[in-house]
Amino acid sequence: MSISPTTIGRPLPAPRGRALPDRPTRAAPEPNATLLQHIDFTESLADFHLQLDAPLAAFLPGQYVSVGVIDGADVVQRPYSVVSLDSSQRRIEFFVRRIPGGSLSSRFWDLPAGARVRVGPARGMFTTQPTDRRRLFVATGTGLAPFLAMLEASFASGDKVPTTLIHGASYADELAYADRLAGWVAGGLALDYRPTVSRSEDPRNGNWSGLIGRADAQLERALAEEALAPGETSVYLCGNPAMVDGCRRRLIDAGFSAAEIRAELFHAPGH
Amino acid sequence: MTFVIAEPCVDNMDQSCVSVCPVDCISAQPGVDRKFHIDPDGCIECGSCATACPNSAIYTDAELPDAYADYAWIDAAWFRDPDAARSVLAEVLTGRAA
Repeated sequence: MSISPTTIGRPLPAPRGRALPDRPTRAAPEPNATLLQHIDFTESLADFHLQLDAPLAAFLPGQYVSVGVIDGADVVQRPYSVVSLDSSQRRIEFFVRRIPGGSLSSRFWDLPAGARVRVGPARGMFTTQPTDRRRLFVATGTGLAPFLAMLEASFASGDKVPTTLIHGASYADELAYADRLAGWVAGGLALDYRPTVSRSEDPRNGNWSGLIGRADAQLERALAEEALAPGETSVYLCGNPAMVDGCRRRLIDAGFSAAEIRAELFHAPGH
Repeated sequence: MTFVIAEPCVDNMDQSCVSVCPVDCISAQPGVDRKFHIDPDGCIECGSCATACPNSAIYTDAELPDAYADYAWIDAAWFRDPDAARSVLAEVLTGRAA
């Protein structure tokens, strides 16, 4: 997208013959963060670390920020859920999938360490509510990101709310951050981590011996467990819209109220 | 593509969309405007606003109902000449009432 004076990309109907007014000139935004490194999980998934010039204010685990690569007078921006924000509130981490031809992810991927980028304010309402109820997190792909931030906060605070995390991926090597999750569990986090791969027959999953099937199949198994009953469990869904819609319908059928289900959709409009 | 805030926002202005927009491209002048507006040059098509809106007021420009077609112009114009956008909105609403 463009921040410089531009016209929108299609003709607009002009009500009552009016032409669209000229756009006032605006200054391009200044960069406010430095890319430190990205650690690749696969050819198309990586963990990006950035250093913000100033602390990220009022961040709640589960929220997202816009990340923008400045290109001349333009800035290409996309929202990314925050994986982690350190205690200084300046070192920030993202789980990024490289979309072939994506306007931001491809540029982001190719940036060298030290490159300057723009990070926007924390936004979004996909955050955990204070509760003693069990939590069921269901993620696909990079939809794991907000749950990592939530779980890190739970671990740091000593939160003992039992949480089940289903993370679905096509391939086992896409089940990123498993070591981090295992470390929190070893440190006392009340987490039941259930990674699952959907393409079990693919040679790339040849060494996988864990759960197989899509995230929604694991949700079905979880719903059979008495501990994850409606009225006692808050459910959080994050990932591709088809998964979120399907799981939401299944949960409603199983007796969950709409208020017990929170969701974040990960679209990929030109990422 | 961009998102557009249509008539169900008028005089409701819940503001949920403002709090979720990652690029701060949703605006209105408090006490003056009767609806919020999405800047088509700023919108990154994430859809967060449409998901958050309790009034189902936000559409993609491609899915905008014919009855709300003027709202794409109103939103785009507001960031260029707010008074022109307000004038057209007033005409649209007057037409509804007639």
